[in-house]
Amino acid sequence: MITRALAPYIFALLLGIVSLNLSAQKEPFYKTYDWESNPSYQLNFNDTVDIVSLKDKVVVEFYYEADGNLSEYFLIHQILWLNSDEQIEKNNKIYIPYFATTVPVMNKGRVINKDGNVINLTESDILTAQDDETKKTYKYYTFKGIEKGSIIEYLYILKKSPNYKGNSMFYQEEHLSLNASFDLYSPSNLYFKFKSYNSLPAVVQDTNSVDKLHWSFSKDTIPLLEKEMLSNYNANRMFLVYKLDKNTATNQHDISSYGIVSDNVYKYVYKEESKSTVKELTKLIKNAKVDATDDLTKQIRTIEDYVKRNFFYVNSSADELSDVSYILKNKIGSDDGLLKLYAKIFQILKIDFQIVLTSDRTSIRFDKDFEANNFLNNYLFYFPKIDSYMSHLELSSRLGFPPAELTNNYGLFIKEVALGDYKTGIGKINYINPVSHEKTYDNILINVQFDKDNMTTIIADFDKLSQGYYAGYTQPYMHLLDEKNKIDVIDEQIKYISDDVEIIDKQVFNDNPEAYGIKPLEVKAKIKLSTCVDKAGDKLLFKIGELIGPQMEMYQKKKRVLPLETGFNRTYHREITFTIPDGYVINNLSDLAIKNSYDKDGKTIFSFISKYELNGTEVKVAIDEFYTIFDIQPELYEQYRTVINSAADFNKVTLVLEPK
Amino acid sequence: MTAVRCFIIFLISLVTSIGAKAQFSEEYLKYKTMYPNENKVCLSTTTNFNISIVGAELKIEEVFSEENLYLGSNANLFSEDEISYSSFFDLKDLKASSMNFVNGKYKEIPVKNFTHKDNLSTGVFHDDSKMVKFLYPKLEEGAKSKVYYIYSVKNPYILAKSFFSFSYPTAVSNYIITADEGVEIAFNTFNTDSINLKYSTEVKGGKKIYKWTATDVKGIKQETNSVGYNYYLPHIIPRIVSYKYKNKKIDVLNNIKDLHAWYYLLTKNINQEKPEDKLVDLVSSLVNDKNTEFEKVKALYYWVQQNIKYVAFEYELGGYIPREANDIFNKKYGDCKDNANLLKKMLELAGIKSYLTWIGTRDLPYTYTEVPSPANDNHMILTYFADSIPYFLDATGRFNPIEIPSSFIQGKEALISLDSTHYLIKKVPIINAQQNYITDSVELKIQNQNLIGNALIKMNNYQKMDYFNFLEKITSSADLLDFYNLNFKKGNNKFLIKDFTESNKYSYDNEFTISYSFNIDNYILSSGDELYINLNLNKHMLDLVSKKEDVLNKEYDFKQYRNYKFIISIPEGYEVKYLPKPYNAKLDFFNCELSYRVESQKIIYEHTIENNFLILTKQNQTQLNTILDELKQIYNESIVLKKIK
Repeated sequence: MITRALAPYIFALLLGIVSLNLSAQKEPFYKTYDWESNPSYQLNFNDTVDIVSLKDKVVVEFYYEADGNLSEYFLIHQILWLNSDEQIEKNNKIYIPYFATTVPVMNKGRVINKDGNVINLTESDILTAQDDETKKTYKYYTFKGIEKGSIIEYLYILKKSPNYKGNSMFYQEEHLSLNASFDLYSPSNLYFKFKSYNSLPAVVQDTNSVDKLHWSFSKDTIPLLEKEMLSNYNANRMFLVYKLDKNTATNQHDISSYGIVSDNVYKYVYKEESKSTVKELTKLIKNAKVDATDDLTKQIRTIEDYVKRNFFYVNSSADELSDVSYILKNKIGSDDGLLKLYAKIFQILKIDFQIVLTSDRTSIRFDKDFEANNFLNNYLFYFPKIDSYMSHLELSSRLGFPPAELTNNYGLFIKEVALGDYKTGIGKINYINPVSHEKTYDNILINVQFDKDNMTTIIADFDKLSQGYYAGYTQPYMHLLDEKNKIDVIDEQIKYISDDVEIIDKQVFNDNPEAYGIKPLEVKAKIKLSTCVDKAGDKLLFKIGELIGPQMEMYQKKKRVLPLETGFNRTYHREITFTIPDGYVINNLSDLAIKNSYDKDGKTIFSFISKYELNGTEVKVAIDEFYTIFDIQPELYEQYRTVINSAADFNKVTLVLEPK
Repeated sequence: MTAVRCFIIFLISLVTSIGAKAQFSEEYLKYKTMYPNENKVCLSTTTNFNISIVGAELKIEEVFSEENLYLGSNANLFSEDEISYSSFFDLKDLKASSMNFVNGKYKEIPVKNFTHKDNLSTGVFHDDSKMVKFLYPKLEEGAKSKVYYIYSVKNPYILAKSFFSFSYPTAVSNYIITADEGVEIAFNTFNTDSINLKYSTEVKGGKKIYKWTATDVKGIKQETNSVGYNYYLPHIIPRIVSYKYKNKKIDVLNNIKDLHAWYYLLTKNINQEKPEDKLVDLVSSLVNDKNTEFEKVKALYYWVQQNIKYVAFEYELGGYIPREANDIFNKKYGDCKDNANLLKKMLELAGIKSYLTWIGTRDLPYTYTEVPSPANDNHMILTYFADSIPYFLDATGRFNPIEIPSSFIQGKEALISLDSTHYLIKKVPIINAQQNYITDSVELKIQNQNLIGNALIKMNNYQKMDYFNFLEKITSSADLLDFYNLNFKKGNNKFLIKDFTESNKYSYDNEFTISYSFNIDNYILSSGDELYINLNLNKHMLDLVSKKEDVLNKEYDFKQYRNYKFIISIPEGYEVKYLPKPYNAKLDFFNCELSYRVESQKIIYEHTIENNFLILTKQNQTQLNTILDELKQIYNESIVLKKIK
């Protein structure tokens, strides 16, 4: 969502869309719409089906009110057949959130039981809750009298401030949907554009419509889409996006284009601050100890580390939290506020930057070919000189490691351009490259010694280095933890092998956010393990593979439908060394060598290679594993599975130590 | 340590303290030294109840104030705070501020913005609880925060309990009751033996002041599986016993009798409506083919569990008063008291007596004798007696067999309301381990390097109910297979179920069984003419391992019994070269056996575990850890089969 503070700037054009004395309109669609007074539905579903959507109707109408202002009427009509306790519990409550400028026009619900009995919701069943913080109101209720096999039906209409610069509607669910439709009505001067995604039918214009413009799609059946492990479910559902394109009354075109957004964002972010605020900002830069002789990366990191340590982000739309002077004084700020704070600091330091607006690709992928505001949800700073991104909000992120879900995606890059004395923001759509696999690694070096007195126990020198996104869950937070939690987090770095690991002593390096992305989080330890060697009569079974910990496995053969997405590119390097104990031989060392990789156009895309060297009685095992892409299309799934399972197979390698 | 190193360390500490002095207050330095590993210390917290007699009523005000000092660089993480209030605790005044140490003294920055919101929680669908949220400005290391508020307490039966410490240390914690003479107060303190707590009373200006002061109380941090905080945090539960009005003593909560009388008063007017015909018809259709009363109770109890969904409404005293049976029947949803009341009505329609019953879940470790107040209750069930044996029916349950109470009330006292003046206190039984069994019998075959199995799992009671609760949420066959692959896993994650058949799924009265066949590829290790197989395919016992440094008692949902029987056929041409030794361990709260034997070309491995505890004390855990250490070694043993030459 574009945050509230910025909204007035982006939607500044809104005021321009008042009616220019167009001929009187027909009344809005909703006035003549209602649910069936005598509902009856054909239900020919197998009893194993637990839910079917019988109707999924959305109608959006833009409408000039008598005073000439444009309103939006938003209608949802949904009918669900619920045939399991689980689905009843999931669907028996309805929450309708809206802002203060919205008026609920209609809100009704009913339950139709198997015997045809209809239980209508009464006015007193509908509850209201206020939230001053988000400035939202909720209407909410529970359906009464639902039994297994009941139908629930609800219909509500909201009259809202019009939102026409890009909106998405999702249709596909984990269950079958029948009678899905979307209609958009608008005054005859307002022309909309539509785009459908993931095989949803196109929205087409009804050329027979008189008095108002009308576009729609309807489909009898929308197939269900099952959730799959490691898939971005929402982004793969069928959906459509609509936006206002032109106003023939004023002859405006490309109304929802990013040109206007870029200019508005620019004006908002680059707004001049008072002299006293600039003075405070200069003081902040001094306190942060930014050294102008440092390279750009170091300077930006110094600022970022300082602000993230000292300022607290609040997810709130309170106005003062976006005011730079307030933030400087109180050390708390909102999304927009902190964006402005950083932008001001970078301006003072004359650090060249661009503001990037993009989407979380796990929810909706940025469409570079269809400019609409619903793709502009998250900010990043981009520094062209070092080709690097920074997130102003995420504590788990630092320069060079933006939230991974915002990468591998397109975005709108807004940069300052000067035309003589006039400065403005110009937007351009670019690709946000994901961070390469070499920069995110998890390396483990283990040197194993057998305990001569108790051969089923091993002592090991352990060294684990986590860099990049791998340390993103720990390194940037270490200073925030109390001692007990800190110990737990560090112990977890070792106990991935098994809960049974006994930590004799340990040392931690670079356990601070300032090191994140620069130096790896390193945990060195001496450990004792008593579950790693089995006894089989006089033989010892050394479960060496367990030292790399349980690995993700995909042993089960499944047909893959959705692309598999694992978050980020990554590399693993592991080394395990040990000396074969006196009096023993190992005849199955070759089990340690596993090699599987996938190449494309002469380049290795993902790979697992383990090998070993034997020098006298010393065995040295080295494993290299990496993934240079993290969105695996279904056609690559089998190759990916083979490599992933190689690591899981290694985890099970057991060496047989036989007495000589 | 050498002299030189000693000196360097001295220097470092000297430099640090000089540097620190300029930036931090004496107070900060004191507590930072006392608690170097803490991020926050509560300097003082005071709860003051003012209770006065106004007319025939009591006027109760709770004045709360607290001052916290932040010791870590993460101080700003504590910026957000919220206070909740409701119709019982009406918020009258609220002030908050940050205190920053600037130029040698603390400077106060008051909080200006307070935002209110209705509390839309997930647990309770609709209630009257509200929240006021605010932000402490500029919290940094060494800063302090202050909060002060007053509640008007609307109901003399509902006084909140108060804690002397939390997860962080508290320097001074005061708990004060200032009451008009004529107001009689009672209180119970819990977990206060190990803290420095002083109690005093005085009479001043016609008021009696009861005061508890705890000083330098260490924080106690929750641990994995540890008992709930009521079991270990020092706290006090107050109650108003009685007060005098015009020389007449009015009892409030003197004893259990008063508590029961109040509860009875709240419920006596429910179910005044004539039961709807539909409800009457339903009851008769559910019971008319049942021969015994017990069978009838079962049928009605299970119907409510299956058909009435849990949706909680807690508005004012609505949190205590069940809604009309007709209403719940028509809506098909309710909370614990609503469902208990509907079931009561249905039983009544079938001519069966049952009784509304108040109870506290296991998080409330009090007895009614200790705490005869609503602070001891958070749940309502229904009690039915068959041959004077009580059955505790929890109508919000989903898969509760009639003999099995909800696991979270096992061992707790139930307050059973018989009529306006009579009640019983009965202890809910703790279901023994043997009744909560899982047995897994597996026939194994070796095929090349793979292990192939045919198995039958049986389970009952809490084990079964746990499975059902998960299974109910699974909608696709692929997810179901994943669920069983994960939960029946043997050996390693190459364990894959080929097919399975479920019997008695979701049955209340019968054991749940699943027969299944599986493969574990490459599980067999071989060298020369020997095969090595580790038959410890399940190591669930090791789930009981806990961190040695943990200090709190652990809590488990139920006692349980597990039995694994793995029968492996010795392949033709092979003989047993090595069988590991048997193992057994017996404690009064725990029992474990593991054995191997050979019978007609088969090795039979049997492993049983019996956990006879709901709360595992620290002492018992230490004993158990010794066994677990031994068991780890036992689990490391493989059998060896050798080719016959």
